[in-house]
Amino acid sequence: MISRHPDLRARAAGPAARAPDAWRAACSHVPREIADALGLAAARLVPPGTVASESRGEALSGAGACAWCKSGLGSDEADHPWIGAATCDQMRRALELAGRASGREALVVHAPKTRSAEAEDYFVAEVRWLAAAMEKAAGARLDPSELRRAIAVRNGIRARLRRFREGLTGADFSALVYLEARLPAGEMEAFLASFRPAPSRPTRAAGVPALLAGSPLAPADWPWLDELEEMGLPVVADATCTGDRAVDFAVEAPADEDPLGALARGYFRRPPCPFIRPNDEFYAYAAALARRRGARAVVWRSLRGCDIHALEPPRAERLLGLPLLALDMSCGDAASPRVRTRVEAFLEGLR
Amino acid sequence: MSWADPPAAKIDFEAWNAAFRLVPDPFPAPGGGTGPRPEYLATPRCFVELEGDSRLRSLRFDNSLAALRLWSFLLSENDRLAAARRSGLKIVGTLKDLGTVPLIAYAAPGAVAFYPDGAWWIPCVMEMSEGLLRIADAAGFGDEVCPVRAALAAFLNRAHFPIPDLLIAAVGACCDDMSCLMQRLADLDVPLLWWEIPYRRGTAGPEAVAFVAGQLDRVRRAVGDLVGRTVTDDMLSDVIVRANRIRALLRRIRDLAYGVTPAPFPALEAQIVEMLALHFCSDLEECGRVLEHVASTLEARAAAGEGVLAADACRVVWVNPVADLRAMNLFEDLGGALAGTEYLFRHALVPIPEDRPPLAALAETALRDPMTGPAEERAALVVAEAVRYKAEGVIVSAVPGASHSATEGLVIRRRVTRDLDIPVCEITVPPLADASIGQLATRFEGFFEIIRGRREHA
Ligand code: SF4
Ligand code: SF4
Repeated sequence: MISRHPDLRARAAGPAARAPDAWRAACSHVPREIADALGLAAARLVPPGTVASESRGEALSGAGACAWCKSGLGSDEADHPWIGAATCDQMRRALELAGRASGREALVVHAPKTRSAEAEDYFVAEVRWLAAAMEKAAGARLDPSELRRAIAVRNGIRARLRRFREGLTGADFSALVYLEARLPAGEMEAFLASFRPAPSRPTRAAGVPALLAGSPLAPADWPWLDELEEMGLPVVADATCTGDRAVDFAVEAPADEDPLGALARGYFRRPPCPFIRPNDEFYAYAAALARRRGARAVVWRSLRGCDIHALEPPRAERLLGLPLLALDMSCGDAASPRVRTRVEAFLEGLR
Repeated sequence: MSWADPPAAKIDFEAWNAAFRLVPDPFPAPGGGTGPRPEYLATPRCFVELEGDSRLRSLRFDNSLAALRLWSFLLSENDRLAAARRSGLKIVGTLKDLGTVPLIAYAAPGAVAFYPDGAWWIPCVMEMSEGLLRIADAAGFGDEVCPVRAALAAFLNRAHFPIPDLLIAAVGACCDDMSCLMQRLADLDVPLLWWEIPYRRGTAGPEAVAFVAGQLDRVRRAVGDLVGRTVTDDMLSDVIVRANRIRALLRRIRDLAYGVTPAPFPALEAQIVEMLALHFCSDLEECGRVLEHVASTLEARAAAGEGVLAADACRVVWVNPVADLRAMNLFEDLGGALAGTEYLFRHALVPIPEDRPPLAALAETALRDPMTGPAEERAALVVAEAVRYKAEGVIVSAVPGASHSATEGLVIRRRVTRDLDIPVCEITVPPLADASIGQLATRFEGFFEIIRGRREHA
């Protein structure tokens, strides 16, 4: 029997700081440790993943924009200033549009696509620029020892999240990842101090354990993950940027290294998104994660309008070496009979 | 012998095809005198029958000798690439950067460069007879991807261009379509070098320039390894000077084609001219001669007050290349004239600085790619173009499936409306627009009516 954590989910999808000067981080590429150290609120923006938010966002962008960006632009929080990274083309354009909508230009850093030492150095320079812009916004200087502390705290939080993973369903773990991305570090620590998850599922999941990959998940997708689980496809590993991949890293900041540079390098070196070129490193990470968790199938879900994920399934199937179900979904599709039928047919084929 | 062009006009395919038989030999040289007839014009041939370029039958063409030469030069590129390979030159396939990497290839002794991305137009030119979009579909690149997906198919069926000895792929601030396509190409059995050009928030700063110069240095070394010779700074500086001559010619032609009334050159040929900026159609020197011929033809027409369109045509800035070339004809047939363009490669038209280390100069220029900066900046380019050429409206031709087209139209529309208060029309033209030609015509007619209405009330 799968147990749930409705309280966790409600809190993760609930409102974050609404003060007008509170930022929203549009992407997990943004090192929120800088905001923590400056005492700025910078919760991750949650695209609700609902049809209504997608329609609102479409009016502000265009019909061809990806569902994730549209839902983000159409969210209730879109009027806050955004911080983000130019990851894919759609995201960087959404960030520009968000600036128009809020009247305050988004702070956008370039997310390198190549994995060379030069690209890493460039990202360090970009993060330095971001820190300077955030210092300006905060009207305060970034204190290196505060930053070091913030790095250590977030490292500790991520490590604890990783430890909880085995006992949680895919949806509950995604909610926990969201909560980490939403709360200031201190509040998250306080939450974790009293979080005692009842094991949500047996250690060895029933059905065909699956790796989830592709576009990020929105809170509106959590019931869909539950449904997958109930249908016999428990998500035991999540390589999206709202799952395991978001917390599967630690920033190393040795005492003799400037913490801001170390932070940027830590973020550069974390398990990368599929948009990097070439993206072998993403697949190496996802394949290892799948192996570690005993996944025997892959659910590759791309959101409508997202080339980065929608064009990968043939490669993903080959590189991950597991049967793969490719789903192209829009906001609101999670509950659709079409998706359910595809999942059933996939499971049928696996038996 | 002397050659006199007929009075400026647009002609249909039959007349155009027949004109190939009248190409003089020796060939008139710009500025007087004669020279040898270019090889690609030597054997009259029908590109429709021999190459399967059947879309040509539906197009209308400029009737000058310069335009005939321009088309022949363009359509014979595969012959040049095949000859280059036979003669032992290395072929560099350059992807996405549009105008920078070919210069490094041309600087290297023993290499030529071309853009496989140019397969964009094959489904249109061959009216889908080649089946490229079907092949792309089967590979998972359906019509949610821009027409550049034809390039993936052309690599898979190996029937449209020679497979390059080296692919050089620009990623970073690039469209998602090409980024994904290049990732697929990396799985093929062709050596591929990635290099990165970052997103810039405004004008590129010194850090971005230094980073890109470093990336281009990797490109330079890879090309040097390919040809077995070091590509020196001097070689690069020399090619920059030669490229700048071409770019200056292009600016001269643009000013004539878009700035003179009646328009002395049709939209279609003007688009081809601009595209030559990207990789010179595999022959930098001959490209210069072709453009010189076009420029002198247009100057003569402008001096004589001759044009190919009515003097009261509606003056419009055109944004984005159009997948079906016939749309440009239709636009003119219904009363439009180009008064500027923004085809996504403005950086290939601007002068490259000659007063600094060549890689830094190339990096700075590459970073002016409108794709690498905010959409708002591209919108400002459109506005500047409209001001320069006194446009009365803007047509944003969204590229079907393109990641940037999803949101860019809105930004351009707002900026143009705010700064100039002229009308903007957004259209989407598929690779073969026959089925939607009526709808497109209605859009153009309605748009021109608005422009004419505003003239009356001005
Ligand atoms: S990766 Fe895909 S889902 Fe994510 S922002 Fe880009 S286009 Fe949208
Ligand atoms: S048209 Fe746009 S989407 Fe297509 S290849 Fe060019 S830049 Fe990319």
